[in-house]
Amino acid sequence: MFTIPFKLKVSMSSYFREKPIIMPSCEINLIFNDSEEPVTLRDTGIIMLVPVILRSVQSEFPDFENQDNVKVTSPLSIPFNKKAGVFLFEYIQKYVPPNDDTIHELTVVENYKEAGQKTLDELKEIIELANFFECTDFMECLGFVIGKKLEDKSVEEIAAYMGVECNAPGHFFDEADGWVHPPADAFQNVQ
Amino acid sequence: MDASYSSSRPKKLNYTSYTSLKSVLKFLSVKKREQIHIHIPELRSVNALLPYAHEEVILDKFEIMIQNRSYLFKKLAEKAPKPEGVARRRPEYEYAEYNRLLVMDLGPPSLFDMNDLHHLWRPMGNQGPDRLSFGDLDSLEKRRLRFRRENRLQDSSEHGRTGNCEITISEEDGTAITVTKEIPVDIAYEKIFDAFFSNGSRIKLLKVQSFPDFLMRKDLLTLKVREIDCSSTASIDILELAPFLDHSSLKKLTLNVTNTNVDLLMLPLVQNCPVLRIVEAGTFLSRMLKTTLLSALQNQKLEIFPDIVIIESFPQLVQSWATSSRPIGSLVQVGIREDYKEVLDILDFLKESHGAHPAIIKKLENTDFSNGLSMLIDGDLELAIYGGGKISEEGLTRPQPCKWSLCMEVMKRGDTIPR
Repeated sequence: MFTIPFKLKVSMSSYFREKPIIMPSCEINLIFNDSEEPVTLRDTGIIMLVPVILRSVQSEFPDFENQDNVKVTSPLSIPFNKKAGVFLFEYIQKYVPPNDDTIHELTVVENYKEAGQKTLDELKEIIELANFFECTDFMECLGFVIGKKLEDKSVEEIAAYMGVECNAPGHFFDEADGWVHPPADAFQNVQ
Repeated sequence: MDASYSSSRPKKLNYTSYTSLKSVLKFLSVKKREQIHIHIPELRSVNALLPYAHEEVILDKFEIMIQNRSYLFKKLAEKAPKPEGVARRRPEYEYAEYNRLLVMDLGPPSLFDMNDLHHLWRPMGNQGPDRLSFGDLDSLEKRRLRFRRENRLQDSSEHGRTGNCEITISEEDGTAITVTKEIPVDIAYEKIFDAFFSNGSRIKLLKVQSFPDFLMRKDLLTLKVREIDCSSTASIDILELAPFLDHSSLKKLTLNVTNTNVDLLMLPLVQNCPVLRIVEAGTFLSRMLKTTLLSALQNQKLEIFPDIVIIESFPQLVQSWATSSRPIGSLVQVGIREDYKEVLDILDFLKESHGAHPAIIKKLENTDFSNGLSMLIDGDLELAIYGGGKISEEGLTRPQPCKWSLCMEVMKRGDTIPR
């Protein structure tokens, strides 16, 4: 039993281009936090996009890409809800993360419609699951959606959502030196 | 033991992991992130790690506008009194921005010398040196290094930098506050700049009205600017800005091209920008020089707001495009001030002298002003020339007096129908 010490990032288009005929079949059982029965994941494309699951499969079948009827015997325990997992598996191949060129044109409604329809609490569960799975690109997509939803919230609501404490609300300029905070921090080291 | 552990570390039900925090914070607006920075101490460190993404920034010599908030820096005289206690005394002189002429009429205050007053004056526009000569960015870097060396010598000649400055912070809703600091005005400006910009900061639209002096001494950082508007000045400032820019991020550039800065069009930053907008408010360029320079530009899209001279050069520009290979979608849009008849004359001239034939441009389905022409280009391309309505002036600092447009576009054969 060994673990590959680095993240293996596989491109779907690259995969199909190299092996257009043989499609490996792979099964792995997942046990979610709120469900007794395991969920069977059979989509090899999704398995290859989720580093944690990919490592789990490769630890038992290092060459599973060239094998047929691969069945991982030991189930993988996942400390998150099944609903979050279903959403992640359904949209991880569809969602394209924001980048510097596209960030200005992206909208939740047009690019991340299904995530936009989730509540903030549901999105939090999904992004934490994506963090557990090490799906950083998918985290960027969800972060974009959550950020847009939080834009309309007050700072107290944001603090509650993040699970941190918030100072008492005050006037924007209520600082000791009459300065807003970011510049005040910047001036702390000035003699 | 177990009880004390659980009591010392209360469980947080809504805890958010560090990586998730970063994924969310980087997509919040600057304003919201500032509020988080002020009111949520636990998130300050992670908030400080992520470069801001600004919508619009206006850069001036002594002022910067960030997200509709203005920071105005004024140098105070050395003898200005220090703030005493809670009540802060006003400086001994006092005048508002719009009263500068009044100050000049009454004569400068006794605590000023003309040099200080001159520094406060907002320049109407930089008068760049005649016929700038630079081959590439190497010479630009040499200029920067020389400037830094000279300023370092000047700094070392003084025994430590001292000074006083006054900073006025104005919010969008009219709220304003004035702070006096016992630091030089350039250092204050730099501190504000550092609070909002770091390596990788994104700016959607950067308007440059004048180049601040402190940036000439500043260590380089890379800003990802999507659009730059330098048209308020003689546009020389794009030279100073170039080292701070991630060139691949720049998608649109607006320049004010005159006789004195026409060499700017040869900068790699200008040549490689997908959309170049030329606003011409200065001296007329000679016809030959203009045509040569415009023909040399390789931008995917050109927007030109000229005076009448460009109209006379347009046929030569058409000829230049017809004989050089440009990718499909390459586009020139020329603003026409008043008289659409000039467009009709040009189209007639192209028909008679350059073999252009009348055509219907498919993509201009319902445009009333589509007097279209087409010229065949080698291969599968054709050059469509057509009149049209007003060019979009979104993002321009000053509106241009152009009601119509004259356009030239490289299309695939078949995108026009002979008329």
